[in-house]
Amino acid sequence: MPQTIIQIVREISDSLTQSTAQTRNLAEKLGTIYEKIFDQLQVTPKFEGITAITVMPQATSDEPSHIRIRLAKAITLNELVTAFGNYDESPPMANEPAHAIFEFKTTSTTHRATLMAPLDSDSTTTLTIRRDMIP
Amino acid sequence: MKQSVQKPLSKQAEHKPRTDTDNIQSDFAPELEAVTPQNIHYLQRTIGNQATLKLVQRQQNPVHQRTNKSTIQRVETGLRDSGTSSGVVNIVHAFANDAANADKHPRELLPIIMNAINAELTKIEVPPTRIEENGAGGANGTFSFRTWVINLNSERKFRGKTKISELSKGEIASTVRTLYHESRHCEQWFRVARLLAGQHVARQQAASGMEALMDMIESAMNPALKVLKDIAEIATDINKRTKIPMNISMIAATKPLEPDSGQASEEANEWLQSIYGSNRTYRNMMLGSLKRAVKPLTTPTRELVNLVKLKEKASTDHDKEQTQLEIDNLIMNINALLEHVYAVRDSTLQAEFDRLSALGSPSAVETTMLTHITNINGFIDQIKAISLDASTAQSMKTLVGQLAGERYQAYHDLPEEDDAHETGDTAQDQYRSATVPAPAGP
Repeated sequence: MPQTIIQIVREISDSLTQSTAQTRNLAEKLGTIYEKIFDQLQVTPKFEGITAITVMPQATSDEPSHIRIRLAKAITLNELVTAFGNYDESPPMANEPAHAIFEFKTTSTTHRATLMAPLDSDSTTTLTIRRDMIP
Repeated sequence: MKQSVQKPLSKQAEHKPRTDTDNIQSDFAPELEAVTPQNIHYLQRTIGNQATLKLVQRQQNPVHQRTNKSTIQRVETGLRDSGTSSGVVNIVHAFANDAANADKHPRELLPIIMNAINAELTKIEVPPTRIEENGAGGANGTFSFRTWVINLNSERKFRGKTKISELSKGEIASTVRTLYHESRHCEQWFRVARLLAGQHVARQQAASGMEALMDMIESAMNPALKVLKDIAEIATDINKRTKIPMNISMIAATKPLEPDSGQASEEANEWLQSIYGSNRTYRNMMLGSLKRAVKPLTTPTRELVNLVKLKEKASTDHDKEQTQLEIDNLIMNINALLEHVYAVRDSTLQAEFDRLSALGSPSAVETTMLTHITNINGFIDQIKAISLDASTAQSMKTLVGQLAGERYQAYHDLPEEDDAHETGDTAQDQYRSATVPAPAGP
């Protein structure tokens, strides 16, 4: 039985938040790297239902900062709420809408995942997962 | 630090022509909290010279009696320091004009610009940012405080050119402006985070009673642990309020900016209020609901005018009927879209108008906000009064254009945007006026 998008998001988040995660290793774990734009890795995903993955490093290290995933089929805000609970809203920028911010634990003891979804419509095909240290 | 002298009113007007300044109606023009050079400078740029003069004239005392001449000079902070931007510009200019780089892809300019800016950010202890190529939502670029990257659309910048030598000076200057503007946002967000840290520390210091006693005991028992615990607590607070990444919040927590400690904290407080504080609803509306409501109107109102002209030129009854059908459909569509605008007008716009009107002593920023809302409401009311048909299509197009323009100006005048635009524009001007050094002699 194929994984649901929520299961895939959780799996990717788990890999992203491991204390030893490095950008290239992580990208290779998620699929096949087909392009490197500066230090940004473009990945053909191994997951069904995900059409593209971008892995971004931190500005000053090779640890991953965040992952952007593009979905084949839009996911609704309600589906995300059902899976990850209530969200906080973060303000918009001039060319970037306000985002729903979901925080959740993974198997990592050092980092947690922050899932971000644009709020300019009820559904989205782009999700961003950020790696945040647990203070 | 460089200092810039305030430009006289006439120079300001030359620098940035403004929209109809008479739109500021005396009924809505509140008294300013204080007439300071900073306030006047900001108001000139945002609501224009005439409206600023009207406000200033309404003050009880003339400006020169209320301001200290020593405050006429304003310190430019961080990346806004023109010495800082000229350093960046010189590096980029030298690279772009080096014959060895002429055949390189224009994209190779990006790390040169970004590294130069990041070196400056590092000097002022701001965590560096990175470029992420992702189309930037169709814009040139945008700083994402959520991921601490600059989303960039380099295709839009370089328009299919494949060599640095093919780029015009203006195109490179514009790229410098975009990255410099967005990097200033990075600096702004970090300074806001530092200010939140400073406010947190101030609250801790003001604590008394049992809370203060527990703090003292903790510090005495294990000072290092107490410091780490405090930093973690402050960082968590910053992260929760701003949504910036935790690693950036941790750095900000170690560099608290003392509230009310000068221009750096004054600017940071303006940005904080705009983005996360008392003025956030206005900002969210200008960048969110109002933008989403107004933007889709531009194309159909233009199409409607074209269709009306087409119908006038139609030579057969059949063509006229067909075009009329299209006109009717478009009018229905536009009327449906207008409902979204009216909904914003009746909810957030009205609420913000009421809030800002009730302020006893608004800041310069709040005065500008109220002016924009007044103008926007005026345009919407005029639109609402129109019964849309062929004879009113042109008026509707004009009003929608004015409404969109006013909304854009309201975005542009948000304190953090106004500041970033000025900063980016300075870098762009510096690049434009940079000259190629003469080749070295034999």
